[in-house]
Amino acid sequence: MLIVFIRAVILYILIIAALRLMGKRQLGELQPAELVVTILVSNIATLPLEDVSIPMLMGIIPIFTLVSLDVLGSQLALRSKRIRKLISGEPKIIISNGEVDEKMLRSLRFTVDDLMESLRSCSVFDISEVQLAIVETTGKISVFQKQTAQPPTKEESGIKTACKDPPRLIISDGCISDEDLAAVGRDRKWIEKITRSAGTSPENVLILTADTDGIYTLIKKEGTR
Amino acid sequence: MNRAVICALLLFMIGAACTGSLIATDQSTDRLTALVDKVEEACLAGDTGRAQEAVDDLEEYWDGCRKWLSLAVQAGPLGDISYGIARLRFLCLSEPADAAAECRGIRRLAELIRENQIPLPYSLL
Repeated sequence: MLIVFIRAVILYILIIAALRLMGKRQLGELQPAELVVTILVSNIATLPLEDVSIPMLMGIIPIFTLVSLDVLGSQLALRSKRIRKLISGEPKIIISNGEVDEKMLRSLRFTVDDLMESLRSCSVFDISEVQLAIVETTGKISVFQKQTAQPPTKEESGIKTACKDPPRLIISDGCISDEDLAAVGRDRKWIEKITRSAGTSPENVLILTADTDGIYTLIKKEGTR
Repeated sequence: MNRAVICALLLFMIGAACTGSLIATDQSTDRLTALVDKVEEACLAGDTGRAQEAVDDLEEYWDGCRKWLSLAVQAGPLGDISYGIARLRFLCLSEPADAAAECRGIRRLAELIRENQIPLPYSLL
């Protein structure tokens, strides 16, 4: 029993290390090769956990081999378009100027229902509004609506707006982020000033966000409100 | 360090560890077979004193060898060999012919362990 526990702890740490090695790409949309590695890793990891007669190395070696091959494969794909196409495939256009490419739809084994479902998930309910729809290598559909169906931008509406960064998280649960504070051009004195005016102290602030114009949102911790 | 470099190093280390394990398994099964041969010879010659000494050597070697072999080999065959070696001491005294048969069994198991580690087409597929 204790062996299983210790093995579970070791494998947990090693799999986290392996996933970190694969990088952030792994945690978002999965490319075909990444999907294969993820499924295999999760299956291989269970073998030495289920059966203590199997050496742990029989789980660790294939996991790190697969992850290393995946990382090296993606490095090669970065350098060569041909390898990238071979490993991940390429995006395919399925709707062009409101017309569905039936041939492509069949070759991708997409049903009309699949297509409509994907369009609806992109807030498009009328296929004639679609200028271009592309099936990405991850299987996700990207939709570009016709200009006539797109809402006007602020620029088109003649509304003048300044381009500025979104607000930064300056205090999180009482902890001040000096990096974010510097990014909005403020200092700790400013924090003391605004927390004092709110009748609290930085340690008692749950969230403080601020932008470069000095507009801020302050939420006190429960019990100090 | 760059991920690609870490992965290349990892693959190299895994490759080296696998090759090293193959060589070490080969050498240890060779040594195990040689020790089993000695026990078998002594048993067939009816020399119980020499057989007991050979079993002592075999047990001592197997105690160390089994631990690291368990890093690369499933527990099943290792357990079978341990069971066989444990029976040898008593069989040498009472039934030398059975002891010789047990030695052949242990030798075959050791060969199977070695063969299963070598990446031959039948073991790969």
